[in-house]
Amino acid sequence: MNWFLKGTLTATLLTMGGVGAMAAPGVTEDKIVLGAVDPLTGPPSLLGKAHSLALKVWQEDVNARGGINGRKVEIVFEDDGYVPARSLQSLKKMVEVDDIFALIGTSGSSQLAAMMPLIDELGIPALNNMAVNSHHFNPPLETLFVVGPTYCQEIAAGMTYLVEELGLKDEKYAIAFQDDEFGDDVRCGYLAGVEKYGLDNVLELEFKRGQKDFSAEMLKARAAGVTVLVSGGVVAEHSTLLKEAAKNRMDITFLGAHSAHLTPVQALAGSAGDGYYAADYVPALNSLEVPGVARFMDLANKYLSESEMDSLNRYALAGYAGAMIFEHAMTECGKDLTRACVVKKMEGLDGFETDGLFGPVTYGDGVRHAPTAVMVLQSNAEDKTFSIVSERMEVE
Amino acid sequence: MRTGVFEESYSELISLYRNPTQTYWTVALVLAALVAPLLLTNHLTSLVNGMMIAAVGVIGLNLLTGTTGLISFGQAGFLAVGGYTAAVLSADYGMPLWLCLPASGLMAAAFGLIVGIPSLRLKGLYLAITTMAFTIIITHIILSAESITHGSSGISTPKPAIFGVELATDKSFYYLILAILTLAILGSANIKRSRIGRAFLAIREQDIAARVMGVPVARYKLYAFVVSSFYVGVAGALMAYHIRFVNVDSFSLVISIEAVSMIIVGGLGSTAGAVIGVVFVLGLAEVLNYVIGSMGGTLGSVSVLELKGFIYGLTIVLFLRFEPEGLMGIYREYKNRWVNWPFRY
Amino acid sequence: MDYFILLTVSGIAIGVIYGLIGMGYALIFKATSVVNFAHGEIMMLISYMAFSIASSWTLPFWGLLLVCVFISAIVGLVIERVFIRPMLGQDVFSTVMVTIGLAVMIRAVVVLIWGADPLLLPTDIGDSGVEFGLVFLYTSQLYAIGLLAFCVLGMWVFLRFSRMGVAMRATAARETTALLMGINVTHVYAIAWAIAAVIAGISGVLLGTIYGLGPDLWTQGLRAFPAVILGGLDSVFGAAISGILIGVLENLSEGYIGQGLKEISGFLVILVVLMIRPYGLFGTPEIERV
Repeated sequence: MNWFLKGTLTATLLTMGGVGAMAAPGVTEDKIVLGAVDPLTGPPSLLGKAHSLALKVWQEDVNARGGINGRKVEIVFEDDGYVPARSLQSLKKMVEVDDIFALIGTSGSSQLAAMMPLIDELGIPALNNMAVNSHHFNPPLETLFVVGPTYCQEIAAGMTYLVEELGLKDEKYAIAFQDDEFGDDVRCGYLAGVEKYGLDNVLELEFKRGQKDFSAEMLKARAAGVTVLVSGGVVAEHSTLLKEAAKNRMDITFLGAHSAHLTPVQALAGSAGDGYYAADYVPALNSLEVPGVARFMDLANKYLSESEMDSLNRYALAGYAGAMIFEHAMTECGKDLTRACVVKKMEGLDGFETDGLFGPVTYGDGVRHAPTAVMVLQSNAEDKTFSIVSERMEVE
Repeated sequence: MRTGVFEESYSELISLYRNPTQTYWTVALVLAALVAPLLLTNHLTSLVNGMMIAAVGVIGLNLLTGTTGLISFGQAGFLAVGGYTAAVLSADYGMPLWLCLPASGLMAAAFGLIVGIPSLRLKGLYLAITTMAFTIIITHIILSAESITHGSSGISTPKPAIFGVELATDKSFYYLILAILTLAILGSANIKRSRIGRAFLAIREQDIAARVMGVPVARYKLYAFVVSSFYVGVAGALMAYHIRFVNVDSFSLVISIEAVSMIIVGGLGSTAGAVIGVVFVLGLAEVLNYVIGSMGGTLGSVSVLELKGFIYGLTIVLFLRFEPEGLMGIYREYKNRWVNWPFRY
Repeated sequence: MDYFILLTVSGIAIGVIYGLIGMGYALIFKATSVVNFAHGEIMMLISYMAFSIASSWTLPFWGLLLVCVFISAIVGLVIERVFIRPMLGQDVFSTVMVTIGLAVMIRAVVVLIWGADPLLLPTDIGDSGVEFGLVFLYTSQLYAIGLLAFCVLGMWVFLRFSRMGVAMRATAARETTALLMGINVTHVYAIAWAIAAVIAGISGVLLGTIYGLGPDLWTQGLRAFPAVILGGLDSVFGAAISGILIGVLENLSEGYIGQGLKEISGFLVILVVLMIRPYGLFGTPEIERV
């Protein structure tokens, strides 16, 4: 079997060496193939659907504008069902079968973590604009770019707003967080805020993913006299926490991560879903005063069906803005499109504007994270909208 | 003309191959397996790797559920134990693969013993649900023991390498998995031909009768748990190297249920059936992926993807309805028909 | 002390749901020796159907519940006829796997029809509530307590006094003998599935009203497992009582210990209880003869 092994190894090395000299993978005379891994089935499809629809809108739009330097864009989507093992399989398939040039959808945080070794080995330019975690860029991978603050930075900025703008300094703070990576990151931001302002942290509640009932947790919070609650839930958890608080006649100020910036959260919470705050780095779909949002909504109306429009949410804006960044880098490369060039152009971005969808985006040598500025939104349950209540705040 | 297989002596009964034909086919199969990666693309090799890893685990489960008749929904839990052991040892302590694999197996076997002891008194579906509880508790422990398991952030494992040779590509890793799968199959076949295997069978058929005949039931039930979880632990370790990343999401309860459906589709109690079941169930998912993908159903009508789940469930139901003996049953039936033609039997 | 009472009462409010779900499991197990792994999914299916009904017609809560009871009985009968009856005479384990396959199918169907986004089940009781001293409960939680009591009583009367109930107990005790005594066993099975589906329907409507709908609603079926196992798989009333016990236990463990212990405390308890009583608190020990 040994000669076999050597034979295969040599063959593989030879092919890999040969590829470098040829044209970039996924790029032909008139086409660029891009890949996106998104959760399209199961509960997290709320994220993945919106994200993939935004990419679809961008694809239609960019092709209608004549493509990138004459090349049409084609996006291949793979569903990973939010399971890391399947994300990796999907990426392998897209590399092998669809021969993608770059990756512009990276699913969730641990899903990307599972794909990172392969992204690094093959040098695939990738842009993460869906779920940001510090180990995506720390240590940085040469070709993986991350846009948007971590939940930690996002919540810390949200806390700054609570204390400095709303004057909630002498309140009793508590956090409810999910027992996963995401929850831990929210907690990190919460603790940063507590430390920065010397707040009274009375309670930290950990709960399991998918938990439905929060009566014990909120009773605990009531017993501790909590007045400000930071929530590290995904979707329904925010709503249930809000409802339980209202049920227990608690008067609390509620701050959620950007996962609270979704209309289902409002809808599920009913009357309790009015007035809560969510920290986010993209505006709301209804923030038409932001030029990027107005343009995206115009395009979406043009290219998407009625039911697809209903699936849009903040992840669509993040996805569209991410595609704008990537389009810019690819356009800059001109006709001679290579992976190395795209990485170089991405790296060179300095204060790149996405028409207000993200704050200015800046990368640099060895800097693969653009923690764009955060704003705070407030929920209006009545008309199912969110309004921007703060300026963009630079994150630390 | 050969009319049947007759075992006339004890040595014939326990021999690995019953007749020369079987030996020839086995040799052909091994040769085909050795050449396969040269003909397959990287992506397909990677899929085959995934299947072979699952097969190692499912052969283990088959020893417990198929041969001994102890229904377990704890597959995901044991996989998690194995996967995490390998990931922690290789990523944090820099242990080489050839040590990590047996270590993962042993760790899972230890957990098998822990689950096995309270399960001695339980039967049937009570046992099934207890093993399910084990999976849920293991997940919780992994998330809580942050200092060892890195909690929810998961662990990236280094590239697999054995004795200095790096098995970075799927094709090179293939040969390692193939070797382990071969060992697993031989091990399982040998256990079943031995005293232990016959004790397992006796327990499955009627455990009180087995006790009456002098089989120490408690001890053999524990053997079954330990051996089975060793297999699953090794599979978990291979999985960690294959995906290069472990976190609790990769070990959900669905895996346990899938594993049981694999041995049922293949045919309970048969090692070959376990392998065929894995190929069928995972292959079905891939084929559906491909068919639905080529129908252009990836986007727009996202719901098309849910069809996959529906067809998958339907296949399980239809199988149980029409082929309770599994794929091995179909195979036996056709073989008999072929051998005895033109007579009915 | 107030804290303890609050935790206990809200624990009971969750527990009654576990109890209701558990009764469904136990009834099917008692009558047919099969654990219905699709129970949570049937519950989810009916709560989504309730959503469609409630969005098309404005019905009061009780009207909606009544319609759903009717629909779930039909769903139960159809499932029994199409999926379960053909498995008659085969290994119990195969039938259990059929329910698992069925569960996978229902999950897919629900997302195919209603999508994966969380939804609110619109009923006229919404999130209104009632206050007793320091305890505040949703109206729907109050109804849940009442409905569990009603179901327990109804089941008792049914099993004790009705002809079909007696036939069901006879079948559970010894299927072949019951068959020889002239009991139509397939009929008994069908009725058991229908009643279990009705109970699943009731718990689905309640769950939807209290927590909203989502494609992961079926996991509540798994969450009720500790209740059925603790009570003994074949004890319908045991499941109801253990459901409440588990609910209270979960809340107390979260309230006093925390760290997400709530989600696994039920499973930890059944591990311990099963070691002492392998057939649960109220289950019938199986006496084997060789």
